[in-house]
Formats: sequence, structure tokens, C-alpha cells
Amino acid sequence: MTSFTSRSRNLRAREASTNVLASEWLKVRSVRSSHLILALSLGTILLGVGLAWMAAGMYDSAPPDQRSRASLAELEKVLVIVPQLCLGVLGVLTITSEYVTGMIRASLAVVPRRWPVLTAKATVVGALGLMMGPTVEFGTYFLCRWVIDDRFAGVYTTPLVDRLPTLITTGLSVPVFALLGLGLGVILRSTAGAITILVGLVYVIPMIVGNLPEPWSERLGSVMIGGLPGQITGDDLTHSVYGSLLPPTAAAVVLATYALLPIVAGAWLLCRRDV
Amino acid sequence: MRAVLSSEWLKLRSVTPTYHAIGIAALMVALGVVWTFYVSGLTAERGSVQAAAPEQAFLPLIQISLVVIGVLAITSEHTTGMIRSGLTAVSRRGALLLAKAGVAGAVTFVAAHVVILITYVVSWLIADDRPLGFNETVFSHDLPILLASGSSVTVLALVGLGLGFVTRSTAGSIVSVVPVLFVLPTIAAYLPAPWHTRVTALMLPNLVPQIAGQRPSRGFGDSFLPPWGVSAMRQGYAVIALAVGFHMLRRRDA
Repeated sequence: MTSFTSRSRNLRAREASTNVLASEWLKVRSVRSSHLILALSLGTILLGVGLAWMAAGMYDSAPPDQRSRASLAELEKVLVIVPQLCLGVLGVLTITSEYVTGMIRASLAVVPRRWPVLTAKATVVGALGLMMGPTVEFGTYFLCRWVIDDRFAGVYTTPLVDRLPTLITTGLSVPVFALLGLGLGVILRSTAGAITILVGLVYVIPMIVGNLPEPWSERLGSVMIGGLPGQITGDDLTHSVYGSLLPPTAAAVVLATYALLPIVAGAWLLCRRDV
Repeated sequence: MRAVLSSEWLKLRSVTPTYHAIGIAALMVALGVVWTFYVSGLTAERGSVQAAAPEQAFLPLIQISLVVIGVLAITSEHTTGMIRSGLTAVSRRGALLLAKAGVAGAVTFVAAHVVILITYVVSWLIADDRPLGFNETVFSHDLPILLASGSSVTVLALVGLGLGFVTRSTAGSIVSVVPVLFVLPTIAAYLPAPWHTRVTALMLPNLVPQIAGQRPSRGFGDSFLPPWGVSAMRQGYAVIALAVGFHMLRRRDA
């Protein structure tokens, strides 16, 4: 008898969490801004191809001595900031838009426990980021590889296996941004505030840190979110604004902290605050 | 028009985000103090330091925080529905847009210049006569870049306002300003030479040093823009964003 009740309770709990997940997915997929954000992320691939095509055209029309000196950045690594920012905003909007419209009151009346709501939101935006990041990274990479061919001293001719770790970690940084955005949104409950802080963390603080005198520029530069994928794969970061003091595991832990710490802090606040 | 201006001023000064934004911008003074003390401490062991001026190093902080004032001036009305009463009271849409631009422009102009000048003076006083790199020029030499930095904030706030009229969404406008400020300059730097210098020179944040007659950005060649071209380009950003915003405002229902 006891085991039966506990099993049915388990079943009900599982059903409930599936329902919460389904409702969060419905909320995300039924607003225009999500579609716009995801389209914009995918548009990065086109932007990458456009830049590659333009660079290839300039390379072909340049005299041979300029050609030998010409270099090109790995475009998918530069352009990843677009899907990162887009998914970050998606994460912010999944919660702050509820505060704008007042939907949050209905949401929390239906599911009074805060954790399931937040977990479901995190699952939905995290999964979207997980799909979008690698898609954009690999899409940009393969198309740029095809357009650039062996131009620019063979920047795109290295075997795929060598580039794979970088492509995967850079792609995986996108869901981190989605969760970071969600966490900031839960904490601040304001679209403008959360997006501004997100942008601050990604762009403004690294610029300030880059201007600091050594050794602090290198030390703080190593924990900036943009430099972490490179440190995980052990890339050469000497010419970037970021530092490279962290070993791969530590960099991975810091990256995960960016995703999880704001959500945990937000969950704590959400449990304590009235809506 | 005076009534419209005063109503916009009332809207702006009676909400908390305005003060949050100015408060975050004012953090620059505190950061500048910490910065200058830290750099001054370094001179004891190294003799002299080539440090960036605090009001330049922390400029993006003011830019991004005060842009929010421009954006929220319109998007918050769309969020709350205030825009409907706003346009019922002031049915000439051009007047509404101009009043918003005037008030947001003036507030960000004053706030940015005050914060930048205080940071400049305080760091200059702390630095005293230690050779820190940034305090070795006279005020009249630094004035053009101080004014250029301050007014760049206003231009950005107006770009934000224009984009706010276009997108009618807080998230949309802030996200559209970010590329102008951070993403496009980054991507431009990766273009092949000589295009990276040409395109970089046109980027809004890089117009600031050019107004003071410096290179667009570290590591790039000299600017090809004449001085009048630089200011026209800068005003152009705000004018175009506001013009597109006005066009959308006039054609769309609220």
C-alpha cells in the first residue's frame, strides 16, 4: 500500500514537472521575440559567410606580396558573440517579460513552488542554447571553410579534428549565456537592468580589465567569460584582451559558475520574495 | 512645446531607473579613485607608469548605463501603456519625439559631463605630480577628448531613443545599441587591411579619439576622416536613428 502511494506520488510529481516544462516551452515558443532572437542567432552564419566571401574577394584581388602577409581571424570564434548575446537576452526575457506582463503571478499561482518553475525555464533556454550554439559554430565554420578554401595562409585548412575542441567549447559557451541571462533576470526582475548587466559582464568589464596595469589585467582577464572557452582548450590568448592563467579544468569550473551562480542566487531570492 | 518638454521631464525624473542609471554611471568616480591610487602605488616601485586615464578606461561604463535612459524614455511607455495617454495628450508626434530627445539628451549630456569632469579632476588631484602617463598633459590639451567622451554618451542615448521608437521594446533597443557600441567595432577590427582601418574609423566609439585628433583605435592607422567628417558622422548616428524612429512613430498606431 505504502509503496503504491509513493509510486503514484512519484508519478504525479513526474507528470507535474513534465507539465511545468511543457508550459515553459509553450511560453517561449509562442512569443515573437523568441523567434526573432533565434533567427538572429542563425543569421550569424550568413554574416560569417558574407565576411568570408568579402575577405576572399579582397584576397584574390590583392597583389602577391600583400597576399603573403594577409591574415584572417577564425570567423566562427569572433562571431560567437552574436548567438551568445542573443541567447543571453532570451534567457533574460523568459523571466523578466513575465514580470512586465504580470504573468509571473499566474505562473506562481499555478506552480507555487519556485524551484520547478525555475528549473523548467532553465531547461528550456539551456536546451535552446545547446542546440543553437553548436549549430551556429559548426555552420559558420563549415561554410567559411568552404568559401576561404586555402586562402590566407591556410587558416581554414587545418584538419577538422584539431579544430573540434575549440568549436565544441565555443558552441557550449552559448547555453552558459542563456542560463546567465536567466539568472540575472530572476535576480533583477527588469529587462533593461538584466540586459545592461549582461552586456557589462561581457563587454564593459573586460575592456576595463584590459586597461588595468599588470599583473591584475592578466589575473582578472583570466576569469572573464569571453576568455574561458579558449583557456579550456588551451588556445593561444596572447593577442586577446583576456588572460590565460587558468588550467582547463579551472576554466571549465569558472564557466559553469557563470551559468549556475546567478540562477542559484536568483532561486534563493525567488523563494524569499513575494511576486 | 514647453508643456511637452516639462511633461517629458516629469516622466523622466519621477521613475527610479533614471537614478539607477545615473548612479551606475557615477560609479566611475569611485573606480577612478581606486584606479589612480593603485597606479600611483605602482610608481613607487617602477618609477613611472603609462596608465590609461580613468575617464577613458571607464567610459564604456557611462555609455552603456546612460544609454538605458534614452531607451527607457520611450520603451517604458510602451510597456506600461502610457504611450497611449502620451499621444492622446500630445497628438503631434514630432513634438513628442523632439521633447523626449531634448530631455533625454540634456540629462545624459549633463550627467556624463559631470561624472567625467569629476573623475578627471579627482584623479588629477590624487595623481599630484607623480608620472602616471595620463596626468602629464595640461587641461586645455585634455578638454577636447573630455568633451568628445561626454557628448558621445548623449549621441548613444539618442541612438538608443531612436531605436526605442523603432523596436518599441526595451530588450530590442538595448540589444540593438550593443552592436553599435561593442560588436561591430570588434568585427570591424577583424576585416582584412586596409578595410579594418577604414571601417573602424566610422564606428561610433572610435569617433571619440578622432575628434581629439587621435587615431581611431590602438593598433590602427591614421583616420581618413577630416575633422568635420568625424563630427558629421557622429551626429549622423543620432539623426538617422531618430529619423527612422520618427518615421515609424508617425506611421504606426500606438
